[in-house]
Amino acid sequence: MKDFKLDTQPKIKPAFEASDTYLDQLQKQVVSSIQQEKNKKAAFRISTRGIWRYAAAAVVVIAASIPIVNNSLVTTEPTSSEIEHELLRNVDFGSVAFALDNELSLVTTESESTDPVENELLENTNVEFLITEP
Amino acid sequence: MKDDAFIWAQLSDPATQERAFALLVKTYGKRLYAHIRGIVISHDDTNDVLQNTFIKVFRHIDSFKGDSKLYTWLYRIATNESLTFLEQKSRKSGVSIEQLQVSEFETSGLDNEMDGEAIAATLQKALLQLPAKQQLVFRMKYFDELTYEEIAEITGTTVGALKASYHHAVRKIEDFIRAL
Repeated sequence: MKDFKLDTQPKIKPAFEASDTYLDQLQKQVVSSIQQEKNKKAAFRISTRGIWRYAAAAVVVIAASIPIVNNSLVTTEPTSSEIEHELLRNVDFGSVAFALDNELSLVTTESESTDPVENELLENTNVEFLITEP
Repeated sequence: MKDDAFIWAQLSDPATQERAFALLVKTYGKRLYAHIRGIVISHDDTNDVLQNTFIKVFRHIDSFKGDSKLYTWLYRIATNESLTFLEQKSRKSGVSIEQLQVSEFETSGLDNEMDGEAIAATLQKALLQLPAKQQLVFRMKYFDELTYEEIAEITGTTVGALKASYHHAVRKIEDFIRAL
């Protein structure tokens, strides 16, 4: 084979060739597979037809319920009187009065203890003397 | 042998589809078998790939526009199925496609009991030394006698690249056989 050249050789056949018996079997196998595929397609079409019906019904129901859901979700701004009413509804007036009293007494105590000039002015009734005092 | 237009007309009609598939197998089964077996080597694997090829044809029959010839379309599907099959098998076994082909060839016993002439077996052995894509180009050009334009359509490669690939394949095969 020292001078082997493909184009000078007689045409070489492929090493693998199918026998006629095999081809007959293959024909039957292929036709049977095609029939199965056709059956699968038909079954799929039938099953999806049912699904489409349900899907269409679901779409109609969802579309019809959109306005209802929208209305229930709409929030309105409360008026000022409503806010006031709501705030006053749970107020304990006794506690408020007590807190205000405490605050006032604190103010008074603080002024008495921290400002001697003011204390003097409050205690001394002779205002004229204070004004003219050199 | 019925021509492509006749087979195509029968395939397109659901009433004659099954008969058309029988005709398709009769017309192209032998060539497609040789083409696929040259790639996947084992007969059982070839049988699976060939059946899958015809089922794919049935599933995608609506997408065939008739722009290309029917057998070019069949070859493209068969080639893609064969290569996908080999890639999956190679990934599972962890060896390259070329190594896989050589081991399939050796374990099948075809090395010693080849049908036909001894030169056909020698050529097959030489082919298995080539990268998978180069083998493919050689098979389609040499055995199936497809034109470069048809091979380009099947493989999605340029005619120039195919010519170079075929030239390299021939040189390597001749070197391999001369060295025996």
